[in-house]
Amino acid sequence: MATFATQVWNGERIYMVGFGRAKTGTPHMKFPDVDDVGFQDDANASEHGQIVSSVAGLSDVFVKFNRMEISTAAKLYLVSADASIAAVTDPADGALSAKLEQKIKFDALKAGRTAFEVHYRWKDGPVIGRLYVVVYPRTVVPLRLHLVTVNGFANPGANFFGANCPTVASQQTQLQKFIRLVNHTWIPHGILLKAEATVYQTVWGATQIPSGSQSPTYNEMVMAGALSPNRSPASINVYVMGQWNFGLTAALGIPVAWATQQNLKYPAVPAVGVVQHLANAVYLNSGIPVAPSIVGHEFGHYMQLCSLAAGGAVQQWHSTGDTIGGAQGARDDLVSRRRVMYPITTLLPSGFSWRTDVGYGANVVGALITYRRLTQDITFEESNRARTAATGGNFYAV
Amino acid sequence: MGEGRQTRRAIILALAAILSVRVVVWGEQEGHGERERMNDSRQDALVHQMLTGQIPAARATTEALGPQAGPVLARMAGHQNSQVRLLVLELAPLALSVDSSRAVISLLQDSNVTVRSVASSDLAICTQKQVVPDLVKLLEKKPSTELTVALLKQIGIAGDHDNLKDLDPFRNSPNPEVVHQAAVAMAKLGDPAELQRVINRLGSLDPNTRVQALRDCQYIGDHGLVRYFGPALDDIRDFMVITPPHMEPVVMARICDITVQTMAYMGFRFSFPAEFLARFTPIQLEEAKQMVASMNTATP
Repeated sequence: MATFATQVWNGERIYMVGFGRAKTGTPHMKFPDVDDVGFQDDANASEHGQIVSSVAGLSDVFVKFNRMEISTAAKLYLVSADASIAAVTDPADGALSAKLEQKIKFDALKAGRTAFEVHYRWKDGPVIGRLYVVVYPRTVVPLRLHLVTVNGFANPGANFFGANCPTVASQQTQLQKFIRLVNHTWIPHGILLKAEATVYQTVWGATQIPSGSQSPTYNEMVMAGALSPNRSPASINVYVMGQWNFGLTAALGIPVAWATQQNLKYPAVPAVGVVQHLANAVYLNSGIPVAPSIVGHEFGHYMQLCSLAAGGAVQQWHSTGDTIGGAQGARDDLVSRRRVMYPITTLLPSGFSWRTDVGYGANVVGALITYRRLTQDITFEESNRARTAATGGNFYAV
Repeated sequence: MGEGRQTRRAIILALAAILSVRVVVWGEQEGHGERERMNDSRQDALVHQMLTGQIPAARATTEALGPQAGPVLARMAGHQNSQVRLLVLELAPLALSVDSSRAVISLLQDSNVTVRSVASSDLAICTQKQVVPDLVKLLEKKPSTELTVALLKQIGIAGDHDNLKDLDPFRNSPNPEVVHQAAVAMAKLGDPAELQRVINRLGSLDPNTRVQALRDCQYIGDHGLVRYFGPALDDIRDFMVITPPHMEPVVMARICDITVQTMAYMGFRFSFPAEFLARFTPIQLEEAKQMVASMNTATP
């Protein structure tokens, strides 16, 4: 029985097979989201298909295969174009089942780019679709975690990111666990956020926040971040504090480029020629419960998502492309809402449950980080851009 | 008192004085030796802490040692374990010295991408004149564009007029970033032609060119350049978003606001806080304009 649902009109291209995320709910490194935003990739003009990635050395990675416009009776085989980069392990013989959808499993073996090709009828039959697979080398991004006491105000024990953590030890454990969950978003892109074993008990006092405020303003906070005791020049500093006084924002990721552009730099000693400290860091407000994906979003900002324009000005803060010079707009399509850099603030007010769940749970931002380059949309190619930032020379600062 | 007795007393006093000096000198030598022994012991402790990954302890020891930690860091920069090399970069800014700078420079082309990346940002501590030849030597190896730009920038900071010849060839680079950084580094080191080019760009009507010139002035640090800030202080075009992510409403800084902040970073003091970008009021802008007007308008 034919299962074609779309008529062919003139030059319309029919994709008979497709790929997607193999689970719903919270992100997981072994269930990466698939870039299915059309089939064009301007960075690889000859390629037409969906794209996924993993990190070299990770095995048992799952994606979902769909028969979009082909009968379940058609015999199909899945074959890796370069099994030394990524090898399909299930189905082991490559033969896809006679179902509309099934999970497939692969091992990411070494850094490179290949494709899983869907062959019709025979293992070497005509190719009717491809999933492009990028295997990244592992890039370690060191983190230094700080539990910050601000002019005597410590992180709250009763509501530490929504959990009851009455002791410093339990807060440290909770924070480390939190970072592990954030990693599920970034490891498929080859980026491992590796927290130091020590969680620093960092104190901001009169030197860092001269006003004596226990609830710092934005300006006070970034200056304190730059001049903080225990600040590491060799890690992303993650400052966790119990409160701040600039609205309901729960987290901020300030990259080196943004801090440089805004001149958020402070001399340790006020004298000419003295090394200055920059305010680049990830700042978290433990008094506001957030999902790990929100913190993943902030690390996206730290990795220069969203982008800075050539002149150094911020082009837009979220992957919506329409926030220049006015109130924040937002695309409202389901693909945009699945993107980790989508602004959660515009997701939350929706009263329609069908709009607030894009496969990750109600009111939870998705973990999709786009791969393809679309010349007409500067917000794409996030995976490559984040990696370029993370491996470049302006990612950490003294 | 007889003469002989006085003579004896004088001799005794002289001997006592000599002895006391010797005692003091010996005491100083003993103190010096004590310090050396203490430093040796701390350096040994630092090595142990670095090899065993005791980061907070290593930080404390480095802070106690100060520049004396430099030789340890220089030695450990060659360690085979990338975590140890990363720790060298963590500690180097706590022990500003020629040795620490050389440790950083030796890691700029490390095999580990994270080490390379951190070393590049640690380059900011390499401000000593003695390490400039090391930076120049590295430039000769034709590193990546990003590293070339960083090295040129640092030579501009740590070098002097003699280094103009080292920078000059980079003005012919096919890469515009390299050309620009070489030019402003030369301006910083006193090249009059390049300084004039910066002044010309301050007068540009293109907003990106003008703002870049302001940033260059901040890097060059020559107060005389502020004389030419007048047109930029009159430029009320919006230039960039200054609201952090997730904060509404979105606020734009104008070119005049960036100019005021640049002046603040160059050491000018205002009656209002100007270090943070904000949309400054007309009265505040006027204060900056008066400051510029009061400066001598002669060319630097």
